[in-house]
Amino acid sequence: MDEQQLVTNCLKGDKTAQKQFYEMFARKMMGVCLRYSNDLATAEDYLQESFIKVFGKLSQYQFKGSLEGWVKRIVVNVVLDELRKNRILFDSNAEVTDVLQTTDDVVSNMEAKQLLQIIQRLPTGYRTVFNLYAIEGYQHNEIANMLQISESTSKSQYQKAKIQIQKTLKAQTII
Amino acid sequence: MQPTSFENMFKDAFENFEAEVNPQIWVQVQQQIPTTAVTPQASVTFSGVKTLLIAGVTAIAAITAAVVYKSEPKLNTLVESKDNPVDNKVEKTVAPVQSIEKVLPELIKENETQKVQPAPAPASTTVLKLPETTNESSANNDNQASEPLNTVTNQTKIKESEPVVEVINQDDKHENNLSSIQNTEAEKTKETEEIKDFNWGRISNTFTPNADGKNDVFKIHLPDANYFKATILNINGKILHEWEGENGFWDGKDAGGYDLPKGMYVYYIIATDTNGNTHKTKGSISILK
Repeated sequence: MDEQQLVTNCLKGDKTAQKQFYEMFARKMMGVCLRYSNDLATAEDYLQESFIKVFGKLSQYQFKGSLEGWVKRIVVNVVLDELRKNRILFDSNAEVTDVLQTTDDVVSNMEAKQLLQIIQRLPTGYRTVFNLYAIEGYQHNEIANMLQISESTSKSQYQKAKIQIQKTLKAQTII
Repeated sequence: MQPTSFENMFKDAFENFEAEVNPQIWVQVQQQIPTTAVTPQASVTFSGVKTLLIAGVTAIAAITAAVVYKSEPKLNTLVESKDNPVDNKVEKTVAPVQSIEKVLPELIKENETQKVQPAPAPASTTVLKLPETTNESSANNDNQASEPLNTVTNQTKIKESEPVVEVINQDDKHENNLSSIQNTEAEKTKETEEIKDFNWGRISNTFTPNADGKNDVFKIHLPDANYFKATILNINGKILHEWEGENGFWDGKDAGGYDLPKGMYVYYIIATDTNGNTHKTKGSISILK
């Protein structure tokens, strides 16, 4: 069954199709939710909210672009909504001088699971910006818009996140 | 700033990253998938009523809907037999709705203009629209209304007009159901309501980690929690310490095991109750020395 057929069946109320649709994306979207949270329970909350929204909005899917991309955008939006509700703070002092040497070789040798732990330990503000910029691939001006912060805050948060990650990576390689 | 290889490393690492999913999530999600329009009319009226609820015109709107729905077919049939006596009956039909008339003068005006207009629908279709009781009478209408027949119509009309009130009542009940559904939806979206239901017990706000054996650690006891995780942050939001469950505690040290200075810190607790609902709270905890 192709995606279009699957979506159509889901919209008809076909329970098997709905389950199939969910199983097609749940594991991957759980991965996304974990990246944006610092514990399992929050990630599960995000995932649940996201899929409720996905099914609620499914009739609006235009069959343009990848279905996975569409689902993921909803997931990210749900996460950002939740973060906004909890009023996460982005400290806005933009001075970042402390740039470490890159540790690319370390990163490439690490499993996603290990990297996830590092990301989860970041403060929420850093983590959010880091995810949006480095992994989702948004630009700082887009992130600024999404999070209602200034572009320079987005940049400085990202720099700080990067530094903290690099520090952790360094520490871990020493051990 | 262009993404460097550093960013690409992360991007690649998470490209196909998947994680185990708690099966409970599907159970929850499944319950909230909107039932799609198998019978389009039913879903339309449902969503219609729901939007009206949200718009805050609840009671009036429901009554309006009921009146419009109920009165339309009647008016049509009545207009068909153009005899004068029928006009009186029109007024009678509208009579039980008079209390609403006060609330909805505009609607009634609309209905009145409809009365004046000649009936657009042919007799046969109107008969189909009518409930069984009126079938006879409207069929008789075709034979031109004579006195006795008119009284029959009159009776059926009155009979029919009484249930209108009931319908309105039913709609009110329906509204209650709807609002309770909305309530449960609101509960599911979590937030403050749940926090009220959850007993956070008494979480202390100070402790003295000076190894004198008195109040040296910050412990949390949550009577309602099946599981909880506590996170200690400094006021800048940096995570210093985390633990899970009642056996855990904070000894006033940072993640590296160093003593932290006296002052205020923030705790953040995420707890799951026995029903699997998640609750969150936060507060301040001070180290005194």
